[in-house]
Amino acid sequence: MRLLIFWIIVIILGMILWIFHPFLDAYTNLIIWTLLLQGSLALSYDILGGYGGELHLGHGAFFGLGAYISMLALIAGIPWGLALVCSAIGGYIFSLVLSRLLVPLTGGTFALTSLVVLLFIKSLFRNTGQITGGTAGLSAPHLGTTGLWFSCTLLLFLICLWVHDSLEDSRFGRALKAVSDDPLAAETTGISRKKIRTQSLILGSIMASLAGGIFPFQSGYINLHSAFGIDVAIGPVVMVLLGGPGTRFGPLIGTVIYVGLQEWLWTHISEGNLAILGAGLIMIGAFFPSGIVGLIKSR
Amino acid sequence: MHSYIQIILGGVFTGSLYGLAGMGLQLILGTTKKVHLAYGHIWVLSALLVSSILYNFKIPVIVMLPLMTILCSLFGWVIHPKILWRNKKLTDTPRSFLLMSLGLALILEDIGTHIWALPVSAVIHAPKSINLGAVMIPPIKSAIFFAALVVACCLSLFLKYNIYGNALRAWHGAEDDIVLVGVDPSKLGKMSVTIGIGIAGLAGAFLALSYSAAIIEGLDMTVRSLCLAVIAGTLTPWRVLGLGVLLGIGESWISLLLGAQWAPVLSYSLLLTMVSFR
Repeated sequence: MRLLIFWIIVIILGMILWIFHPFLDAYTNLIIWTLLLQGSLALSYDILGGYGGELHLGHGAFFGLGAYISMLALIAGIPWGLALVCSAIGGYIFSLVLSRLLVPLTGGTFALTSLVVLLFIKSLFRNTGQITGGTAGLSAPHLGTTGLWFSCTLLLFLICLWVHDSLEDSRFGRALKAVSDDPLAAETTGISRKKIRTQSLILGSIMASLAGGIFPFQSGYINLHSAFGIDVAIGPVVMVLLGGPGTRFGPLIGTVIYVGLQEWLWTHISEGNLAILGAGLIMIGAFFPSGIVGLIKSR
Repeated sequence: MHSYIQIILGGVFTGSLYGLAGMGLQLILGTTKKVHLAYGHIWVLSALLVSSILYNFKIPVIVMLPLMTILCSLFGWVIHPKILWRNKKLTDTPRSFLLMSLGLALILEDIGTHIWALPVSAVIHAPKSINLGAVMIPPIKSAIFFAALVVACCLSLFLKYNIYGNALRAWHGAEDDIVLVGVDPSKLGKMSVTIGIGIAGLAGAFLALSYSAAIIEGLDMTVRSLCLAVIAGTLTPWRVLGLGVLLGIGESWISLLLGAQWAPVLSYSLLLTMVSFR
């Protein structure tokens, strides 16, 4: 019953946003858009990073990959819808290849390898400037209307929320949690650890690639920093860990706090954001690794 | 012919620097089994600090090397409380330490970017190169090589013959059992981090005197050191140094053939390949 009410509220809020966003000022639209995009990223991260129990530091690579594929498609004159599809396909293929490397790994090795993958991809994109623009970045014809990128982001957020919410009560979600908690016990009950982890990696990666694919619609410009920067990569990790990994509302709570804090810092301090992010990671690692939701549940 | 010798020599010197830093990280990783993601940032930050100190004060170069080692050791001693290695059921996981060290890396990167917006170097304070025929040998880079040899020797002897060194090796092999024989892992953890970060400080001083440093390279440096530490195995300073030299030579050739921007890709590829096949 509570879940039904939650979804009714979400749909009503989504419709209100979609109808009334043209009447909001540009800054408010940007904040809401940022919340929706970051929320989508956090929800996509939580699949393997939360329910899967892994510290996936390379999740940002899919966002960056999706952004560059979408941008290159737009520059080539491909319609925006197809550009998004290209991003999703690119994310799918890359995650399929990466799953051979990452799925057998766990714990610190997984985290480190995923981080190295992110740095590797960033280096490749930096060094292939003829295609990716290198450090100068890429510009595309601005898609003009706020309506397009706002609507796409809202739709993506709702899809990500639905997928994430389905994990809590679905067979796949329970299998993923079982594999994360006790892989040996899960295998003895017939759950294929490799298959479940591969599927969760692919699912999260496609969602992140789509989020990256939408990113150029709003800005019209991307570069290595905006696509693969360490704060872009670590952001979803912080949001999920702050809110509570592997929980229904954890990523959403974390997103609101993180984006709100970041926005407040930008307007009041304007520097030191990376340091605040770092301090946040230290606090999370030291005092509440199970996030706000975990802290509330334990009391 | 001379240019090839110069390239190889350059690679040996660069690789010695990597090997020197790699030994410090291997000591931390090999004993605590925790990956310290801020290691490269500490290394680069110490290089930036050395450059600034040499620029602003008339301190002899020979004094800066031990000074930076001691400063970084103190930093490691203060910043890494014993509690990080205490056996807490809920939070003593490699993931917590990874998060905290990543947090520290981000803080150091922000501080470094704020104070040193552009790459800096103290190369002008280094002695001039010596010409041996058509081959140039920079004294400070040669000193890196010899310093790395000395550190490898000292570390090997420490791990083999010193009681604390033996305890560190025992900790790696039998984490739970050492508590039974009265060894305090939290004390050992603090010690290995102090020594490891001290070595990073020494590497940073050499980095400032022979190359330029920028804080954004911190994570790349961590990955390079990690690459060597992981491939070399556990607590093997000589192997780390040897692999470091090979990595340096490899990067020199890649820089020559493809350009300097491709050099970091080698260490990433090696680490990913190593992980794939292990």
